[in-house]
Amino acid sequence: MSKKILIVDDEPHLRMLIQQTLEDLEDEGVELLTATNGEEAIEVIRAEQPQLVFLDVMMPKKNGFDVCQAVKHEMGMTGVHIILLTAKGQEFDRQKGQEVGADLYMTKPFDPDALLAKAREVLGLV
Amino acid sequence: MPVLTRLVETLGGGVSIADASGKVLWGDGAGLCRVELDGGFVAGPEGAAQAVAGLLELLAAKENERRDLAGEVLHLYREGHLIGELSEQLAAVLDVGDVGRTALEQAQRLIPATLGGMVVGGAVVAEIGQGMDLDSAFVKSILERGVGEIVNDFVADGRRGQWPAQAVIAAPLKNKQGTIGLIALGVDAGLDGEATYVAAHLKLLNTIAMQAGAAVANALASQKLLEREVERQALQMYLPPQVAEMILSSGGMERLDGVVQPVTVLYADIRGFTTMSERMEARDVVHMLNEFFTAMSGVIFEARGTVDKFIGDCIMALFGAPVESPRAAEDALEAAMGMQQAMTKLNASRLERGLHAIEIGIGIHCGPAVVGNIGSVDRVQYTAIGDTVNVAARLVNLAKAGEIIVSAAVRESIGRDENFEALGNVDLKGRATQMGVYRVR
Repeated sequence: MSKKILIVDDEPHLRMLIQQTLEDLEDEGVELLTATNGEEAIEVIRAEQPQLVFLDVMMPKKNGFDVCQAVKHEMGMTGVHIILLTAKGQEFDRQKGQEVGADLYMTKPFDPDALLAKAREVLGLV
Repeated sequence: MPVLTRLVETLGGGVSIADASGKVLWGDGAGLCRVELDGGFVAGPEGAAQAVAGLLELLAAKENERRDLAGEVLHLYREGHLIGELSEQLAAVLDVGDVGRTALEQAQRLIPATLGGMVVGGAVVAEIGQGMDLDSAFVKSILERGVGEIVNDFVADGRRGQWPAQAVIAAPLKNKQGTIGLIALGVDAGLDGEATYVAAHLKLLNTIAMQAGAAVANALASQKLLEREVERQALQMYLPPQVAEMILSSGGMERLDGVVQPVTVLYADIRGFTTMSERMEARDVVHMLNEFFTAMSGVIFEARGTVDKFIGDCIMALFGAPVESPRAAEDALEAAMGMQQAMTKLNASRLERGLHAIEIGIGIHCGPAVVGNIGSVDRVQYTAIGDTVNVAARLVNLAKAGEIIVSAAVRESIGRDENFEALGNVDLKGRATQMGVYRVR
């Protein structure tokens, strides 16, 4: 099964940054997908079934929590590893994160090396 | 790609795209003419193949441009993140060595280095690898000029001293007054490939140096505060607080190194102590002495005196030292009277508790003495020595319970007559001439 990572953020420069951070993985056969909002994210996850999703929390319409809830509970795709991205200083509701089934959360500005290392770990590409 | 499909149809069809190994990526694999591209080729009718090839080249170039830009942005992002993390880590650090280690660690994440170190106040406080030559002209020049530098051919630089680096980059640490040190990184001579430091590296190192400089200044200041506090506590153990403050603000304990100055010396001791203590438990003797010393010290401090030492059942106090005072003798007398009053009060309490009363005698003399921190490196005491001190000790021996005996010199210094009862001249052990002594009424 081919390895795929989905990057979901409504801010284009952040999508680009995360893609650039994970660029080396493309040479190792990983496909990088993007989505710009929650609804698109759910569609892509349903269709492409990525192993790992980086999911921004603050998005218009469907936010990161809702997407996580939908994917993990309603769609039953518990195998998808979801990392929530939240802005530093923002009150992050850890409790809520746990309830919706998120696997991890990272604060922005993120540490590029940590992000890459985490991706490798989840995909088993260490 | 729908755009490509439409384009090829318009051009007449029959175009295919393959990668360098011949694997067909798009199209049906046929094609008369081949147009080579970076990483593959386009096959098809000449015009069409060329057009498609041209388009693909353009798209590839654009994509590379985008990636280059994204790469640069990511690098800047990394720098920003590094500075943020460094700030956070340095905020928690109060030791100069730790500042150095933290700064060097973070710097190495984005600036290639196998050697390096941080210098503060003429010493290497943290190092990577080894061999940073403090005495090299290079280090000296950075400290003097206070400007960062890159030297990519360090081997050929005359200032290298003993430093085995092939290329180096250094930035000064500064505080308000000027350059207080530097942070430097380098690559070993003898490594394959060339490390080239560029302006962007220096910009980053300068930013790191700025933060480290501020953190070092902070660490040194708080160290100083701590030392001051330790000094203050030490001084306050035997000096009244106002005198301790005076010493601290005028240069600290070094000021106490040996001078001859006029002092007034007061001795107070317990009458019949030896007999008393023979009849008591050791623990009770200690309690008694501590009660006595505590009560007496308070009175001495209030009269602006300095407790010099406790010797057995005896207290020695100084007035007019470390800080000279024209009213030292008066203060000593004030203290003496206060001490006798305090003993009366203490004794009332002791009798209530079923304990023995304590009777004290006091002797006071004034004159020149050698005053200062006397002792060995590990054990120093601020004290007075000389004839004046010895006389005071003799005088206290003359004092009976409840008495205060002073010398003629003390009486003269105070200048008032009424309270003193002349006791005549006495022979004091070890002195050729007699001395006039007085009892205080």
